[in-house]
Amino acid sequence: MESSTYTDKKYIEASRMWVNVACHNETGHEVDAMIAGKKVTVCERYWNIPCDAHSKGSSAARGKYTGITGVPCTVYADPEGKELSREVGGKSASELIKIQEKVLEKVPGDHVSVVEWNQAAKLLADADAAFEKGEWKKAVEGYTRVSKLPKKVLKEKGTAGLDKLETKGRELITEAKEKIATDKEAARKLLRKVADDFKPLACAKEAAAALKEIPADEKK
Amino acid sequence: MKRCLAVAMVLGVAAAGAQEHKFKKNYAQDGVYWAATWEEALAEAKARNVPIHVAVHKDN
Repeated sequence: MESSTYTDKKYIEASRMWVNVACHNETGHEVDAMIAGKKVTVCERYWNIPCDAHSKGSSAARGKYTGITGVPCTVYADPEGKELSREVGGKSASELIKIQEKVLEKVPGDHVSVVEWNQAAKLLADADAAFEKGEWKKAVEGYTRVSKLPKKVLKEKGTAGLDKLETKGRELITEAKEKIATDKEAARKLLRKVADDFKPLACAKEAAAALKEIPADEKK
Repeated sequence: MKRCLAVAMVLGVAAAGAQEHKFKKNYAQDGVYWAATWEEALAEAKARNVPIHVAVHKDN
C-alpha cells in the first residue's frame, strides 16, 4: 500500500479531507530529498515524515486501538479519535477512497481540507509576523484574506486577527491623543498612520476623525 | 572500563548525529500528508473537523 495506494494521484487528492497517521514500527527507509526547494530527511514510504514519526505513531495507535492482530489494518476515527470502523487487509486506492468517503459522511459539519488549512495557516503566520513588526497594512491584508475564506472556522480566525488589529489601532489613537498637549505634530503623524495603515477598519475612520479635531497651531 | 564506555558513547552519538542518508533525486513533490505525531493529528482533526485515517502497517 505504501508504494502503490499512497502514491496514487486520486488517493493523494482524496486524502486531503483527512488527517493521516502512519503506524509502522520498522525504521531505516530514510532518504535525503528536496521538497519545495528545502532539503529534508524523510521516509521514502511515507512521503513527508521521517521514520521516527511513523514508528512513534505505531506505539500511539497500538495503545489507543486494541485488537489489531493483522496488518495492514486501517482504522478510521472521528475528530476526537473515537474509532468509527476498521478494515483489515490491503486495499487499492479506489477501494480506500470509497470507504473513506462513507466515513467522512459520518462526521457532520463543515470539513476543512488540508490544502485550505495550510493556506490559511501560512496567511495567518505571515499576518501575525507583520503584526509583531508593526507592519499594519500587511497584517490587515493577511487577516482580511483569511476572513474571506469560505470555511467558517477559517473565517473566524481571520476575524479574530482583524479584532486584534482594531484593538491595536485604538491603543495607538489613545497614545496619539495623549501627545496632543505636548507634541501636536507627533500626534498628527501617528493618527495619519492609523488612518492610512488600518484601512478599512473602524479604527482607521476614528483616527481620521480624531486628526480633524486637533486644533490648528497658533500662528507666530 | 568507564573511560572506554564514555568514548564509545561519544563515538556512537557522533555517528548518529552525522548520519548521512542516500540523496534521492526527483523525489515526489506531492503526496499524502502524514501527521508528525498522534497529538498533532488529534488537534488538527478537531480544528478541521475531519476524520482520522490510521494506517497500521509492519509490526514485529
